[in-house]
Amino acid sequence: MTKFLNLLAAGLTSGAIYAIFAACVTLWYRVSNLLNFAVGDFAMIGAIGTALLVQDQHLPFAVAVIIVLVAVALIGWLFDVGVLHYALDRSTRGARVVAVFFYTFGLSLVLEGIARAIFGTDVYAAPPIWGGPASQVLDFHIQHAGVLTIALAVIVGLALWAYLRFTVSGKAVAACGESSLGARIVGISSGVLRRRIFILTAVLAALFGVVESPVTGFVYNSGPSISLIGVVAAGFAAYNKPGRAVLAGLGIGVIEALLGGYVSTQYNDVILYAALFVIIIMRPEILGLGAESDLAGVTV
Amino acid sequence: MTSALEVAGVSVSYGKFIAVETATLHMAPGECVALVGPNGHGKSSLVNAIAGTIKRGGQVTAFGKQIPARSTKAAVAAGLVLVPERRHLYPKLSVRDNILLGGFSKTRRLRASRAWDDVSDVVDMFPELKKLLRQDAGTLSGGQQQMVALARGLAARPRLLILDEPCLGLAEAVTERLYGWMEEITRTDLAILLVEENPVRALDVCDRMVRIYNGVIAEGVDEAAFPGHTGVEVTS
Amino acid sequence: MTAVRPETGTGTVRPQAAWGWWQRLDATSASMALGVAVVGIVALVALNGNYTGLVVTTGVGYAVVTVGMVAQIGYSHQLAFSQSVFMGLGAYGAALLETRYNQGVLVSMLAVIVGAVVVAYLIGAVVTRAPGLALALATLLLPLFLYELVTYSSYLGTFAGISGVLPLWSGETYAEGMVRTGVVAVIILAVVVWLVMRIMRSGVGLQLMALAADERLAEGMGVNLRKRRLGVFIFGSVLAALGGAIVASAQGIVTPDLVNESAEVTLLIMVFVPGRRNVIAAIVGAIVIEWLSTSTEFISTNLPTFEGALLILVLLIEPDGIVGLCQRGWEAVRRKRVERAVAAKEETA
Repeated sequence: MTKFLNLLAAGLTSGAIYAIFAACVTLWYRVSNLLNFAVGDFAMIGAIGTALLVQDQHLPFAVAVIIVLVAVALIGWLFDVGVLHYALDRSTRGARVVAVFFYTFGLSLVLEGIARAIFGTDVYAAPPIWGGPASQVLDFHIQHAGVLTIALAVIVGLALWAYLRFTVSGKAVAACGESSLGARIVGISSGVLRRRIFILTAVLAALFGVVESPVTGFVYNSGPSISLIGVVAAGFAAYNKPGRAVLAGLGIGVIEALLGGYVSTQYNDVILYAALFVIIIMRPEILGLGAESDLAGVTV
Repeated sequence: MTSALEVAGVSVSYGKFIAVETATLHMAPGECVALVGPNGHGKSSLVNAIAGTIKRGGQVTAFGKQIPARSTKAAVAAGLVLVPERRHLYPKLSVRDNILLGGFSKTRRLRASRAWDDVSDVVDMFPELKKLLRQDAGTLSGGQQQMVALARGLAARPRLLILDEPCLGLAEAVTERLYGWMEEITRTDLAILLVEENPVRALDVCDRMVRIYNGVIAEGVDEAAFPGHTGVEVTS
Repeated sequence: MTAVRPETGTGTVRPQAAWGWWQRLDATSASMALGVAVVGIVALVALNGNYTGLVVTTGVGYAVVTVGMVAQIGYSHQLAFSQSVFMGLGAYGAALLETRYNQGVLVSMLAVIVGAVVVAYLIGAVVTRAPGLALALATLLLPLFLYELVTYSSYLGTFAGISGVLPLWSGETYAEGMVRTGVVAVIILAVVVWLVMRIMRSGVGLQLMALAADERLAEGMGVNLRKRRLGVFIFGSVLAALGGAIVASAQGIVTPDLVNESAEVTLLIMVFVPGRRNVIAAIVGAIVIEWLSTSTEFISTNLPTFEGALLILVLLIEPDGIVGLCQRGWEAVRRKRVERAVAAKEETA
């Protein structure tokens, strides 16, 4: 039982980052109909950037975090202005769905390359926000950083859900994704909204990297695999509901931990990926895709 | 009295293809004008250009304010609202959300429910929508969707409403209903620019008719073509 | 296809017999394949087994994969990201058969092809049922899956991989073996080129392009959706496996790097940047990028960054890559010429 609870705690902790990515991907998808495969890299920049600023430059923790978040916001802004705006806003090529992820794929590669050049290939962990030895609750251990990440994931998930459901701005965001012409004729500037959401998701991901990294270290190429899981988790919520996406992310984290504890520590990821693959193939409806979906025929 | 709409020398082209060569048009406040012409001669392109959804050359002035090209925001702010061909609703949002978003440009509300309260009066003109408020817009019939689109347009508190082929693809009974609604509207001080393929029907509600042919509107009068309707401009 | 030749004088038309074998060969495809073969063989013999020759041969292996991707992604718009996985299957398969089970090159190559068909059929049968995005996402998971599997499995050599892969055609010296392997690889590539071009220029190719344009419409016209989708998937996957085996044979070793997360992206760059619908562009892309990735230290470590930037640029500016840009350029020049001619005529009129 203790083992199970410990695994559960560990799973929820690592699942929290999948969860937050899933929520970010969902929100971003609703506004842009694009998937963001670079969320993991933003988290990586947050984690490693903070670690370096604190450990090498000896800046106070709060200052380092602020600098890093501002830097990430800047990168997000640059990417939207330089790439996304150019690709999406001045489109007269019709509403072709240009490979929903290739753009952020490219971004991910560029970020990793730059990170590798600057950060090298070492593993980093930012200092924890809430430190101290792991607490012991009813026989199982949970790290403080873990509690923080889970709590943050749940809070962000709830906040994004409420945003989309109850606010005018949230409805406008959803409208952008549903019909870009429809959004424009009521005066919504979809380009502006999209930019803000992209920056928001980047900053959230980076913040999460900072909070999570004491638990799992980050290296320059940690991004892609966790991004992909985040995207898949968001898929299980049909790229529509951030709350459900958070649950999916946490669930996958728990399954990953349980597989590691009970089946095989080495091959737990192998099994996880295989399982996710099977689920997607067998039940693509989970991804919210019927034959009518406009994603059913993704074209390049 | 400032005119509602002044369109001067507007042109629209898609790459090499010229959809609207030159268009000059004016409307007085409260007027109802029908824009007619064969399909493919530039009706939709012209009104989209006026409303700011596509690029254009030339000048558009609404209620004295010059509207920059390709700026729907400026158009809506000046009271120029388009209900586009094929509606472009938000299919996965509820009818209520679709309508309240019509008021997006004018609202300062944070909460969607408050914004809805501000515009809910528009549904009085479409009582059948009252039962459908919670339903996803994408699940409605064509006629119901058109009503939602009209309500959304009204929620923007327009001074000039552009209706682009509102009865396209709709059943006869629904078209009757919509024209009935349009007749009611023309009695208010809301100006309407109606794009309609069928000129005879349009004349039932409109004061005046403007014809576009091969991307050109030239004003002139030809009463012989439509005897009995006074004040009708038919151009060739 | 029957050709029709009218009878002179009488006005009746008598259909000719069905095409002979030389017509079925399709002159364009055949000559292109021949061109590839000649250029490749000459180049390799000239390089005489030196390091560049090795790089070119590896590039040829990648080219087999990319030519398949032109058919799969470029023409049929099937966004599946499983080519690097099948490369891994081909490479590791050949390596295992040759080192652990002491099979010869010919046997292992054939086994790789057959095995790839089987695996591709099994995976493809389920994967191609799924709509576009699901297919793409699911196949994105596959490289992750394979990479983890390969790095943890001692049977597969973990990080060191498996060495001792046989050359395609060994010679008395290393250099001679290198040249011979390269020549065999080029011949395989030429056959693949011929095959791909022949298919794309046939009725099947037309069906695939119709499917790519609009699936529902194509189905309505009688195209068998499932069969074609599956066929394309198997075709692209088998070519990928074959390419992987060639790469392993050229290098003599297969390591997990062949299937890491950037392997698939590298392949995509090799296809998208030069021109995703052009076979020659794909070949050149494969060889050039392979060469770049082993050239200077600076370029090879930063290659992913350049690849990412290139991918974005291509998508923004011209989805049909460099070839597309050239085509646009020629179009513009031709149009200008026509306009000038018309204007000149009007002036003289």
